Amino acid sequence: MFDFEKIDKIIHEKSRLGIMTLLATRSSWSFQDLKAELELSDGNLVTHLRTLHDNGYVAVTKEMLDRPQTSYSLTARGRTSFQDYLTILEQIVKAARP
Amino acid sequence: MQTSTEAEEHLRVIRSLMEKATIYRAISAPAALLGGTISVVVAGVAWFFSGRADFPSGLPFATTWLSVLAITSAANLWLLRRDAHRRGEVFVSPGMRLALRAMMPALLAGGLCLFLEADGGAPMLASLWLLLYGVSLLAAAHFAPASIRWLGRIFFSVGAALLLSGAEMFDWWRGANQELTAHVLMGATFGLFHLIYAACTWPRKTNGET
Repeated sequence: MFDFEKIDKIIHEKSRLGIMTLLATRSSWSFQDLKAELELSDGNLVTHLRTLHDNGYVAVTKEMLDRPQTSYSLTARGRTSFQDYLTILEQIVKAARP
Repeated sequence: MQTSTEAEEHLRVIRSLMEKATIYRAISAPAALLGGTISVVVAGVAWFFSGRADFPSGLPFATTWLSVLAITSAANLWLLRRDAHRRGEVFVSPGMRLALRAMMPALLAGGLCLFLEADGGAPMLASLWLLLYGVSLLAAAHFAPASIRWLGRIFFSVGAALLLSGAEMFDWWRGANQELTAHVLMGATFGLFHLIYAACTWPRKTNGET
């Protein structure tokens, strides 16, 4: 029987899973691009990004280009945790197959 | 998590988001410049030689434009391969596989139009090619940069407008030099639109858009 306690609860929430997935595809994402891709409100996105940042999964970079821009990227810990999370999902699916 | 169904659903979400986030530029700006230039030159040559006694048959439409397609496609693939190599990525990337899977049906349909005995002759074939090329670009829209989506919309709109213009346009085409009309149509659309695309996308290459 699979130990469901192994699932990373921080990543497992659907919006945060979306954020982690997108961050895994490129070196960094701007706040506006994440918002557009995930169709989340500003408040929701900020809350989930803060949770991920507080847990050391996401790094924040603030730059002054034409205007202030905040971009987000996965930390080494975040990338490892995301890979572990994927592995666990795959194990669950495999375990359920006859 | 109580069931594997939920795990499968989460894996589907991850896969779908990753595919959406894969931006792939199927047409490189230099290839568009080359293809656009060749198209305009070919249309100009066809115009120049039309009706001349020493060149009565003119340029054969389908053969000429299939040759233009072959040259431009070869150049595009070579440039995409060079760019992938420069970025340290594989040439046949997941993005390229996605693009080919999405675009191929409409492109093959364009090839099958060669066997169509359609009323309207070469201009009709050119219009169908415009429409189907637009469809193929739009099929890749969900992982293509905005410039490709715009190119697809423009080709689709012009192709659809020509086909919807209906009997009057076809009557005019029948009365005119069909091959020359089709050559000019290709030069004015495939040629000019790709030149505009090249001009619009060239500076963005330095900003990291692939």
